[in-house]
Amino acid sequence: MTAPRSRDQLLENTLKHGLSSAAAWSPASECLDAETLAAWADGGLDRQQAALTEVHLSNCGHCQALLAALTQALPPSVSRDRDGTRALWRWWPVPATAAAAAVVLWVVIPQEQYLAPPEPSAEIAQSPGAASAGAGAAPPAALLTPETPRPETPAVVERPPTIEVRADAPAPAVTAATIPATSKPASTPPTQAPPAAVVAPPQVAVVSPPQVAVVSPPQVAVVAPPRVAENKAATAVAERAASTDARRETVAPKPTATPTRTARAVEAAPAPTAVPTAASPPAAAAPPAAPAPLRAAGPGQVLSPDPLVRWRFSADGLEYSINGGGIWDQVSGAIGPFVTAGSAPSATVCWLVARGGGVFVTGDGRNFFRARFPEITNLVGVTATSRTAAIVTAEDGRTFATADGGVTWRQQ
Amino acid sequence: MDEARAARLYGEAKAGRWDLPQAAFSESLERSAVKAFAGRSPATGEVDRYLGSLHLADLALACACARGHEGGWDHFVAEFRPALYRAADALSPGGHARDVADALCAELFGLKERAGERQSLFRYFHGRSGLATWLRSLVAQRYIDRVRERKRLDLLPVEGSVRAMTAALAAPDPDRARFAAAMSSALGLALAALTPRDRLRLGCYYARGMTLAQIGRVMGGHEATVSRHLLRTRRAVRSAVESRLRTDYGFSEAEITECFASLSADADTIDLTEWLRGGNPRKKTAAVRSIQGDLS
Repeated sequence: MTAPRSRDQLLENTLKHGLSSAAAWSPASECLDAETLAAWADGGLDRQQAALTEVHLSNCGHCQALLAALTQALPPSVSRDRDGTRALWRWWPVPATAAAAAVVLWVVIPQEQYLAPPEPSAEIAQSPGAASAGAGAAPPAALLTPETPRPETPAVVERPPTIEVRADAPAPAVTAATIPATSKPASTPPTQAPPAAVVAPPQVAVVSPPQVAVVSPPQVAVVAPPRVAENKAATAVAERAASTDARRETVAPKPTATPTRTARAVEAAPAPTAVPTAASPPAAAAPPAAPAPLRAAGPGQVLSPDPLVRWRFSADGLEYSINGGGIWDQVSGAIGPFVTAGSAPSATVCWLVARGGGVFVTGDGRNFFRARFPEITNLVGVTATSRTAAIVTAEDGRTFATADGGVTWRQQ
Repeated sequence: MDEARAARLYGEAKAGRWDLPQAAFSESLERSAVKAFAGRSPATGEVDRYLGSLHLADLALACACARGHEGGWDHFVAEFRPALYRAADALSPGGHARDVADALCAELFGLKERAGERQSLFRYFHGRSGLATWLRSLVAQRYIDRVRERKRLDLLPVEGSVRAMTAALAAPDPDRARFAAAMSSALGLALAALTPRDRLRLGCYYARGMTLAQIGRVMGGHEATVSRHLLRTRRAVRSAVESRLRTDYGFSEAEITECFASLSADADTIDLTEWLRGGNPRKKTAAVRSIQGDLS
């Protein structure tokens, strides 16, 4: 495996040098004039003339240089077909597919999230091998290397793939199994799990303690077998999401950031009703005020009433998604890694609490501001009803309420 | 050109707003057709298709400007000169190509006279591309010419300079020279065997440093498609090189690896010019012959 790859790299290097040095000459035939080149670039030549032009261009360094300069001078615009017509008609399926996917996600995922019964879940960080479906099809980085300074590709910050393995409370299991992103159902109802149905691909999950958000039974994670009929649609969505990722990675021209994939289907798993806390004692899991249902979509995630809008926090910081967890953007604000819980009463308002008395609130979803809190204590829960009203729970069980956006607090 | 067709095209071009005589516009159409069908007599339908595919409005504006129509020039200055400057700035972000654009504007106006008549560069616009693209192509050509002109004035490495000494101190290694020669030959033949389109794509990407999006824009296709084509072409080249080294030179896998390794040391010295210049003579001739056969 090493030899062909290194040969590829060497070949690339040689092509760069060899073709560059050879590009300084011009063949005996007459070079293209500016009008012909412009006509070729605009698709104004007929097929034969275009072919002759390409033959000349392929062998003439001077004309290639002119073509490169012309391309540089062209404004960024949509590509054209060879016959000069704009290729916009080819893109009509894109919005149609996006709309269909949005409808499917809207229909399938939110219902499962709202209807699923509360159950504990454990998030287990897993090595990126599970996302190898996309990684295997990625173009060689060497081919794409010259693309790095190019500004066309939007930089998408995505987290490393995390695969969640659900722990089924009634059936404590003895093995941890990773689930490939393509086969992971979006929803796993709490059913009895016969051992034969446990999804057990060859990889074994590696439990990384710092990333385990909720440790119900810390030693075990088992996958309940999906009910085929109930989870068919969700599985299809998950597979589609995974294949889309793989396809995108295949054609991704500029690996400006480390290509990591987010297992979207996994993140769409049913959420516990309680706000997840990393190390909160059992008492803290039931704050005095009734927790708003479905404010959290999983360990480290905070759902808003809009199922597409959510936040997630981890040691890496806080991220925000407006497409149901498909793409995560870093949010601004000096929010440390000690966030323990969150609550979002609307799609733009989110309250977060952290250890050491940290309370953060945003009114636009992206920009968080630290609210004053009177004590330095570990906060483990929060229930917010608006941008200004929230109740936070301390580690020792005390609750504090504010009605003015965190300016003043009242112990309850 | 018959009157009806000329009148129809004149109307389509809306040439009347520039007070352009129909005869002058017809003349520019004929000039364009002569350029396009150089050396052959096309069928009537072919001419119709060709004339219908022209950028008639741009051609009419160019005609008007060439004739010095004030309104046409106002329109050109308002609509196209900014694009010309933007193209110049894109070529040289520091604004160093602005003078190229200004000089081009002067040529477009026609500072030189022949037989008492201004010779405007607009006469060479035939409507096969948009006027903006043609202008960008012109400014690119002038800019390239200027860069080449300056490069000619660069000093050659003098004896005793670092470059010259580095070249002189290259350690002679018989094996490496043998491997490099074999590799150069195999690589040149592999490149020459590619289709012109594939070779052009390689040249644009590796030699010219064009982005995938830029290549896709001028060659048609999305950048992802260009990426796939490049990958496929490079694999084909590598496979052809390995095959040739194996069969023609009888190299073992280890020796082939050595050949590739020689590339890293001799990448700067490998000259593919002769292979691209001559290409694969049989193949190239056949390709051109085929296209020219279609033309005739």
